[in-house]
Amino acid sequence: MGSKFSIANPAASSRLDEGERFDAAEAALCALVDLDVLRGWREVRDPVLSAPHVLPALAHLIRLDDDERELGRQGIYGPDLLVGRYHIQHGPVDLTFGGLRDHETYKMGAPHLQITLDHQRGWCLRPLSPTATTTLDGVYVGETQRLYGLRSGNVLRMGVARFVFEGTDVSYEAWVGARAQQLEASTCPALFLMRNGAICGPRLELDMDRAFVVGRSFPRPEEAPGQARWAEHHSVDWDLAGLFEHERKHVGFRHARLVFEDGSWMLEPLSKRQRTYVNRSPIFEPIALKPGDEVGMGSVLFHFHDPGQVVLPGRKDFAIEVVDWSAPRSPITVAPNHAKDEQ
Amino acid sequence: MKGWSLGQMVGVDTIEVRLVEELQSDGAGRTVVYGVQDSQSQPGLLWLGEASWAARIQVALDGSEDARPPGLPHVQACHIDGDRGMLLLSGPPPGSKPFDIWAWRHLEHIDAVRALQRLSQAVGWLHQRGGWLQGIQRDDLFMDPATGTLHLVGMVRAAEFEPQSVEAAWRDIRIFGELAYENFLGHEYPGGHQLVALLQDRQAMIDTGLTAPGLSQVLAGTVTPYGDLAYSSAKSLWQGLENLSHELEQPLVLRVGSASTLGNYIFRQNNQDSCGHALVNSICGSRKVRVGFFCVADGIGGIQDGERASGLAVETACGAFARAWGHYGGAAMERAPVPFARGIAKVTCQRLALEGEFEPSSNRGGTTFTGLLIAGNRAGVCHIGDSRAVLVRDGEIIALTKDHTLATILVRLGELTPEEAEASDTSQRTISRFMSTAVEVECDRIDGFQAELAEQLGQTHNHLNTVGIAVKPNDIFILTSDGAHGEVDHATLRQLIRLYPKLPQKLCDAIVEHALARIGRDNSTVMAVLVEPTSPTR
Repeated sequence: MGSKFSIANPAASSRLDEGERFDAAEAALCALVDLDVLRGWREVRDPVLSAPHVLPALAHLIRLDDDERELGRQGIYGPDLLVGRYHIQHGPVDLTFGGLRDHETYKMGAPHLQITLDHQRGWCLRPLSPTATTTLDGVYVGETQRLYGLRSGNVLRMGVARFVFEGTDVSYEAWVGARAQQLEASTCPALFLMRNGAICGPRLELDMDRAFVVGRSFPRPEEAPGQARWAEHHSVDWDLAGLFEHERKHVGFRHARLVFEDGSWMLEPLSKRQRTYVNRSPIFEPIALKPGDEVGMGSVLFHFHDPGQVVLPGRKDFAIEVVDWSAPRSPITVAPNHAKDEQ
Repeated sequence: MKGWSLGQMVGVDTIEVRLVEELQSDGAGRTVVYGVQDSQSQPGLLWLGEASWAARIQVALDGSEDARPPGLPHVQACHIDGDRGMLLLSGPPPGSKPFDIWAWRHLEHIDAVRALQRLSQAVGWLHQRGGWLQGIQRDDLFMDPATGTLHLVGMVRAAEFEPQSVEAAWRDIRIFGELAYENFLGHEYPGGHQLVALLQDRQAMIDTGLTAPGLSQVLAGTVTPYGDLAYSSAKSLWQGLENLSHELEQPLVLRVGSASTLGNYIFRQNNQDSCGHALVNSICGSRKVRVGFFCVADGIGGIQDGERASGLAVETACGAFARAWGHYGGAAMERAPVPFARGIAKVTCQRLALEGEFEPSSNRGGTTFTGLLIAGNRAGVCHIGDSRAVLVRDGEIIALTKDHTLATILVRLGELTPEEAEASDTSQRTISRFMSTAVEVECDRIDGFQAELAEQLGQTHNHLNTVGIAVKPNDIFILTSDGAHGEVDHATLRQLIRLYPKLPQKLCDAIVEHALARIGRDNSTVMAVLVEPTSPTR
């Protein structure tokens, strides 16, 4: 990509992004009341999981309130991402919004649009939901097969939530270099956490000799209120309770297990209430992961990295099915296990 | 500085003031306190005296506004001219008047004790800075007759700053015993010698009426500087007054009623509503603390799932409240009732999500949740869903929560007018937020109070969602599920409250009966909390 942007210091961009605070409401509450006391058990919040993104932002979406004042900004850290709301039927979304009001959530598509950095055209957006409206500088953009150009300063409206798109000075090459540096830091297979379109720093390094359960804190047997059955289950190897609230809420307490079997890493979904995805498709049985696969737990995405066979996190080349809720038949698919439960 | 007359304009540094009245003099005219007015007619004080005295006062009263206790004037300007000094100070607040013993004797005991406590803090602050007043006289004080708040306006005798001694502290403390005596017994203080004799004769104490618990201890502490019972400092005095105030405090009494019914609609198989409350009353070292948590939950989802979800929500919330009380205590909850209420709702959400994960086949439901926390004189709410909490005060029904329904969303989007939304049964009955066994609700989606409530209740909206709302005697808080408030409109509710103003259980039963009489389509649950007025201490 031609450098029409000056080379910027990736570290400086990270400092800019520290202004993003997705957890302000929770932090304000926890400053006054220790929720661990109220719940009677301790939730382990690894601060690494809510640390600023390690990659430089390629662009920003600045959220505006009704009076055009800046409410907050979210970084776009990758060249291709889905933006909007998460719904289990439609798969994970790279960029979701915390702090939306009810009427804004109501009008936000799941997902709403795709933002992509095209090498010739620069930033583009593609609306994904025929029933959820998008406007660009006041002009309705509705064709789901078309890419619309996106420039710094454009006012983007998704449903009734308003944003300003702002590019940064970070070059694509600098971003690629920073991402490569992060991947090279792991000398064994690992699951890299992704946020807003790219790996963001934290990772789970995998060891062939044992299994790993990914989930989040839940009470120990002696703390669990009268539920002795939970005692069997108490082992979480990667505790994701430190994620931001809007990410964490879709991650199950024991969400998935990773174990090395027959020459590959197997991903087994454990949670019946929360969905597990591989490359955007839900999985209901254990599946062998290939290097470069994108794993989704709820709407939290991970890149499966194998240093022996490096496959970079890819673009969304697989087809994104646009679901039309106004169609006469129900688009809801029922998981095979759930179908059995309901019989 | 000599030859001044009232009405004259006087300059202190760059500030010009008019002399309004002479408040105090030490007799020899060496030290005088004037009441003055500035160009904006704001009251102030002008103190004249020897230069060394003025300089020491300025140092003693210096200090940031945040650190100083109320009741002390603030030096605005100081002018030294040879051996004379002038101090211009902020005046006592508007509404204060020279100390009036008759008004003082008729104050409520609790107000008098609190006023003495605040003054003792001011005196203690001065003592720590080396400012000994050599005795506080009633002339040195101004008083707000409505609240009893006392302000020091003169320190004419603060001329010599002795090294700290027990007598120096006592000279400034003894007036506290005198004023406490006069307020509680309503007649003139008999003098130190007579009081000492009185305190040693139990029958005389009974005959005089000196029986209020905590009072004799304060009198014994202030009447003499000698002996084991004497207060050695303003801090001991403050503690004695604090113990006295505990004896006088009558915290609000909470009476609770609740009722819940399956209803008589043929398609309702069970009662998916739950409600619960926990009241903890404690008296620790005479300190009375009353804290209560009240909640209503309306289950949604399948027949059994809704019942389990709402029941679990109520149990978890009451348990979380009990843990909060055990760890933080009532005083902390009184300072921040809304965060505690919202924290309880947050951990309840998480408990439901845990149940949904580990017992998925039997826990697919959700529930609304509305909780009310009353701690001391403050209240806080937490709210998700379409159950409601209202406050009934002086016959007026004030909504404390806003329904989370599709109707609210459509009105906000402009797709429906408020009138159309009211008429649309579907929109009114479709809830937009609820606690689910699948997904935890985020903190910012757990409502506290709406901002507009502050104005409605006549309080400032600063920190409304930390300090909560004030609770007054005769308030009634009513929590209802939609089966109750959907069938009982405000007019009917007012009538029922007029029928049962002091009987919360009968009120709840009546509301539920009313919903049953209309063959409402839903379960009905009502919880009512009456804040009972207490009898005054005089």
